[in-house]
Amino acid sequence: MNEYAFTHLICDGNQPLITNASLEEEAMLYNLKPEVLHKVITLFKQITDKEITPETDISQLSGGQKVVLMILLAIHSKADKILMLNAKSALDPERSDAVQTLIKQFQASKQEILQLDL
Amino acid sequence: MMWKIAASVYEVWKNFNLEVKEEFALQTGGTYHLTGANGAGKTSFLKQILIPQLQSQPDQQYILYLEQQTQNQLDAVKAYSALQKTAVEINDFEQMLNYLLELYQNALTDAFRPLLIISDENPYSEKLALWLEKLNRGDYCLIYVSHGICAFDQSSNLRNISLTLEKAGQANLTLL
Repeated sequence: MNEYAFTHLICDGNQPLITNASLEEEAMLYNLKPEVLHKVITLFKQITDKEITPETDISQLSGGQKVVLMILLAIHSKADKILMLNAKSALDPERSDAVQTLIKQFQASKQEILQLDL
Repeated sequence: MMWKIAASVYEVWKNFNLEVKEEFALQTGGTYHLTGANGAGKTSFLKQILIPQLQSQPDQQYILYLEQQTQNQLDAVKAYSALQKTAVEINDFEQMLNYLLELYQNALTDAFRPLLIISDENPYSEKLALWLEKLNRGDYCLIYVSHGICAFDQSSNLRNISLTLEKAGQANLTLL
């Protein structure tokens, strides 16, 4: 994993949240602007059918919803290279397909999005 | 030995109810696969209904709950072990399982205690399966949540517990 440490944004489905606070605070750590966060919220609703706001306490989301949120925040960040660990196993088939479709769309605007289930 | 889950409508969080239409029982020797979409309430069922009900029953069962977000549990077990008299190195899931197995075996020295293992979307099912083999007893009860292929899918005495979202704020739980 060390080989990715200085080149990739590394996200781990086994620990999807950084803050356990509000969505707004989590998004700050990904350096997301409010308008980008708005897109994340819209996509989150489309994928999970759950309404969230910047003030939502994200520690209250289900495990799979946390992973969806982690993926959305990562692909909307400015990181060109992303390594996603243990993300697939937390998602049901419907959510997994939706997330994979989205990742494919973002592949073009990123140098690399790697996915690895350890 | 069996543990009954009473039929009822349980409020798992505000504006979200989970209905168990018919009472059902979990039995030692059984493996139960809890299925349901993300956000259907699987973890809430485990933490807020199943575990409290098991704890309220008279048997002094040993409940081993393996969390969904494994890193948090690993850190917690590591912190717990650091407070004990004998230091144990816990750096990964396998070491954590071995430590928990040791705790369980120590707990058996006084009297027999039935074992319930609850594995909530734990990505290390193969390691857990090996651990259970090492445990060398067939009278435990295993409840697991998994969306993909899992080491327990071919278990004998496997039954499904299905959790389905019926409408907004309402999910139903059924033993199939």
